[in-house]
Amino acid sequence: MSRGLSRRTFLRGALAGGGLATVGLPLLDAMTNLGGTAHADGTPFPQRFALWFWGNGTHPGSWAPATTGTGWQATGLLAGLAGLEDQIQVVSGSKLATKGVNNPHVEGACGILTGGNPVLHPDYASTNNDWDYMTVPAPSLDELAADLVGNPGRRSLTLGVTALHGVNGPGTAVRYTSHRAPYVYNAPVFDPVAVFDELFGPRPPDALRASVLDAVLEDGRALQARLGAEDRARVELHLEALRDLELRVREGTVDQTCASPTAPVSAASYREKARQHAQLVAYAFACDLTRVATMEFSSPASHVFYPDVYGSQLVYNGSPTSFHEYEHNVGYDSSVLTGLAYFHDVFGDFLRELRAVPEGGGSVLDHAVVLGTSEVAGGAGHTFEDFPLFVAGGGNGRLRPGRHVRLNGGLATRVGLTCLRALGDTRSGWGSEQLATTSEISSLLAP
Amino acid sequence: MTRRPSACPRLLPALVAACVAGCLGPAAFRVDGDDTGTPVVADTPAPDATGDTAAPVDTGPPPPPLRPAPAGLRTLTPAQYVASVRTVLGAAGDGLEVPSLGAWATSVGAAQGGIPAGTAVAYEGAARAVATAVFDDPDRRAALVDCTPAADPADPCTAAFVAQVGRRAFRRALDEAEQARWVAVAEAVAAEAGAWEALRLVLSGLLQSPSFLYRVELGEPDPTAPPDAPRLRYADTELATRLSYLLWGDAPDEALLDAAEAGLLADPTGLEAQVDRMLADPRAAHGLEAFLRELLQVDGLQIVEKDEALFPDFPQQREALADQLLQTALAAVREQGGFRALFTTRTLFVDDRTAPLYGLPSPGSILPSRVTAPAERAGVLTTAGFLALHAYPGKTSPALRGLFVRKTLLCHAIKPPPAGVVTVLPDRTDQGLVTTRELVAVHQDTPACGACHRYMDPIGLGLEQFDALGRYRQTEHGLPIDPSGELDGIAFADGAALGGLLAQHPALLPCVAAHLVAQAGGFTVDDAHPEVEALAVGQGGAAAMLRAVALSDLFRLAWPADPEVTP
Repeated sequence: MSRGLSRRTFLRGALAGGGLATVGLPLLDAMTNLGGTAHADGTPFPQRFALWFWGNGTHPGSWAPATTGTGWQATGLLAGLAGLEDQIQVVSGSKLATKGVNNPHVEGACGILTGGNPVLHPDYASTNNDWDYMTVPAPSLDELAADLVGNPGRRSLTLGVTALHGVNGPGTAVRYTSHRAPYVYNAPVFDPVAVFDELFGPRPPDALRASVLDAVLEDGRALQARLGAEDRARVELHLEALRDLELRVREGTVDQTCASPTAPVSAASYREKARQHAQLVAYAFACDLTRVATMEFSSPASHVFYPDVYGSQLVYNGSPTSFHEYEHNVGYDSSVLTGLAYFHDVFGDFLRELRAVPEGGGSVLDHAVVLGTSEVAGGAGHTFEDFPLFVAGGGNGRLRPGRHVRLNGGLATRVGLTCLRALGDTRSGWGSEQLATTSEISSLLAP
Repeated sequence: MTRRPSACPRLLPALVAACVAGCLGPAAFRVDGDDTGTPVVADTPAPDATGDTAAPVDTGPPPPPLRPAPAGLRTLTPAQYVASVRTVLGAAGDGLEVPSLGAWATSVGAAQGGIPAGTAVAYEGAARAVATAVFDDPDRRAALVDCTPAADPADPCTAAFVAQVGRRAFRRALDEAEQARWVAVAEAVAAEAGAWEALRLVLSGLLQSPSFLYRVELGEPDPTAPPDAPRLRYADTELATRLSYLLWGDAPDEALLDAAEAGLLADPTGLEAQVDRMLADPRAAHGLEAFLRELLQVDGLQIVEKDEALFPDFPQQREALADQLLQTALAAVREQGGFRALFTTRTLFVDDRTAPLYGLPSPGSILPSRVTAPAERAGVLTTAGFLALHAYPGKTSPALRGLFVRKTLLCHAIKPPPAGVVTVLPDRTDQGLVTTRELVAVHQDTPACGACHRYMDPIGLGLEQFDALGRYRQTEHGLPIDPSGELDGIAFADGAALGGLLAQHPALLPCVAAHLVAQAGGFTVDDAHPEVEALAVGQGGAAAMLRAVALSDLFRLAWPADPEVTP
C-alpha cells in the first residue's frame, strides 16, 4: 500500500529548508507560497476526503434549491448551509436504484457508501434478518479515498455523535458507515476529548514500546503464514493498524510546526459535540495527521431522539418517539421537517469548521473533498428518488463548488465516482451490479 | 438459525397451515447477490395445508447433512477477552479492572469479522495499562513472577516467565521462534531500562499479540474421516480452547492444557473425563452465563435508549437491569432444571434501583437481592431488563417482543419489512388516544403486514401490561389493557401464562441447542437438522445439553476453510 507523502518527510524537508523559523506560528500559513496553493517548498497541499453521514434521509421533492447552476440559495431545509453556497455543489434529482429485496435502510447504506448491494456471509445462509447479519459488499468510499490520498501515519478517522443503530448480530451494514471490507468496519470514536488526546496530546517517541509492537507484528506475520487467504486478509488489516501505531510511537507525535485546536470540553448537545469533532478534523487535516475522516452523525436507520431539537416533545399516540419511528408514523409534518433542517445545520457546522482553518491563501475546505449524504432519500416511505447529495470543498482545485446540478433520475452512485475522480482515481468505474457506473458527473469536476 | 418449511410438522397445528407462507420461509440470500431473497408472499394459504393436521406435512426435501463449521480464526468476544486476561494474570489480576474490549459481541460475528484499527489501538492501550498495574504493585508482581529477573541474555527467570505466561496467553506452548522473539524483546529492554521493566513490556506484548486476541482453530486431518472427505478435527490445544470457551467462557487452565498436550482429548474417554471435570467446576457457571448473555442479548441494554422525560432514572438502572436479567436467567437454568425454567421462574433479582419497577419494596442495597416475583410476572420475559430491551424508548412494541420470541427463542425466521411496504401506521388521532393493541391491529387487517406480524404481534400483545421500562400497568392512556394473546394456536391470558406455554413449546429446546452450537462453533445452524435436534437431550438441563454439544462431531470436527485446499 502506498503511504503517499509522509508527513515526516515533509517536516524534515521543511526543517532543512529553514522552516524552524515558523515554530510557534499557528498552522502552516507561514510555510506556504504566496498564492497559497502549496507549501513554501512547493509541495502541494495533500488531497483530503471527508464523509459526513446522517440517517433517515431528507424530504424528497422539496429539499433541493429552487435554481440550478451557480447562484443557488440555501433556504428551506438547507437554511443551515447559508453562507456556504459557494463552497458546495448540490446534486439533486438522482436515484439510488436499490433492488428492493432487502431492508431499504440496509440496501440504501450499502448502495450509497459502497456502490453495491448488501451481502450475507455463506455461513449465515440459514438466517435472513437483514441488519442482524448483512454487511457491505466492498470497502466504503472513505476507505477507497484513503488508498488514493495516502496515509501520513493514520489512515483515517472515524467519528460518531449519536448512538449507533442497535444490531443483534454480526451484521454491520446499518450500524457502521465506514467499512474496510465485508464485516470489517471502522468503529466511530464518540468522545471529542478522547480524539483530541489521541491526535494532539503530546507523545514523546518511545522506542521500547515500539519494539514491543515490532514483536507483536512478527507474531502476526508468523500466524499469517499458517492461514488461508481469507483469514490472512483479516489479520492483515489488524497488522496494518499496528504498523501505523508503531510508526507514531517510534517517532512520537509532538509536532512543533503545527498548532493544536482548543482542547474540547465535554459537550452537552449533539450539535456541539459534532462541531468539536469537526474542528478536530479540520486541524487533523491541516497538520496532516490524517487525510480521511468519516463523521457518522447518525447511523443509517438510526433511532435517535435528537433532544437538541425536540427535548422530548416528539410524541406519537401519547408516547415519546424517536425521529425514525415518528417519521414512519406521521410522515413529513412540520416536526420532521424541523429535524431534517437540523441535520443540515450540523452539516453546515462541519463545513464552517473546515473553512475556519486557514491554509495557504484559503482554508482547509479548499483542499478537501467533502461528501454529505444519507442512506435513503425519504425516510417516511423508504424512497430513493431525489437522493440527498452534497459535494463540498474545492478538492485542491479539482472541484467547482458553488453550483446545483439536477440529475433527472441519474444514478446516485455517479456522485461517489465523481468524488473518487476528484481524488485522482483512474479506475474505469465504481459500484457493482445495477448500481455500477462508469460515468462521473463531469460538470462537478474542474476541466 | 431458521426453520425450513420442512420443519412445519414439528410446529403446532395452527401454524402448519401458515408456515409456508412467505414470511417463515427459507432464506435464499446469496453472497454473490444474484437472487437475493424470497419476496414476502402475502397471506396465501399453503398449497399443502389440507387441514389434516395429524399427518406430517412434507414440504420439501430433507435438509442436507450438516457440515461442521469451517476451521479458521475467531476473535475473542469482549467477555472472553476480559476472562482471558484474568486467566493470564492469575492471582496477580484479582480485583483489577480489565476493560471490556472487542469488536464482536457475538460469537458468530467473532468468527467472521476482523479487528478494526481503533480496536487494535485500544487493545494495545489496555495491555499496557494492565501490565503497568500489575508491575507497579509489589504484591501483584510477586503473584505473577516467582523469581527475580536479571538483565542477562541467559537469565532463566526471564525465559521461564516468557514460557509460562506465553503458554497461558496463547493457550498453547510457545514455539521456539516465539520464545526467542519475546526473550529478545526482554533482553533489549532490560539492557536499557532494567529486567523488571522488560517483563512488564513482555506482558504488554503478549496481551495484544494476535495469538492471544485470535482463537486460532485451524484443525488437522482427521484420521477417522472417510477417504474422500476433506474433514478436519481440531488439534489438541485447539480443542482445549474450544472446550474452555464453551464450558467456562474462559481460556483453558493448566490441567486442560496438560491433558491436551498429552493427547488425551483425541481419545473419547479422555475427552469425556475433561468435559465432566469442567462441567463440575465452579467456572461452568461462567460458561453458562456467557451463553445466556448472548442468547438473551443482554448487552443490548448498554445501547438501548429510553426517553429521559418518562424514565429519568434509566441511566442509573441500565447496568442493574442487565446484571439482574442475567442473574435471573442463570439462577433459573442452574437451580430449576434447565432452559425451560427460563420462562417460568418465580425468582427475580432486584436492588434499590430496580425494585420500584416491580412495585417491590427497596431491599436497602444496590447489591441484588433474590425475591419472589409479583403475581403478574413469571420468567425472563417479564423481567424489566428484557421488557426494556424489546421496546421503543417511550412505548412498547408487541412486534419487537414477539419477534424476539419467534426468531431467537423458537428459531423461526421472520423476514424484515420488505422494501416498498409503507410502514406508516394510519393516523388515528382523530379518534383520540388508542391502546397499542388497537394501533397495531392494522397489521392483521393488511395482508402485506399480517403475513408476518401475525407471528409476532399476538405473542407480544401478551406483554402489554408491561411498559417500555417493564413497569406493570393495567391501563394505557386511561384505557384498560387486554393482555391476552396467542402462541401457535393456543390462547393465553397474560405474560406470565405466555412463559408457561413457551417453556413447553416443542421448538424451544432444539432452538436452544442451535444457539449452543452456534456460539460454540461461531456459525449459524438450522435447528431442524437432526444433528442439532439430537443435542436437545432430556428435559433441557444445561449441563446435559452442553455435554452433548462438547462431545458432538459438530463441535470436535471442522471443514477446511478453503475448499480448494485439501488438508
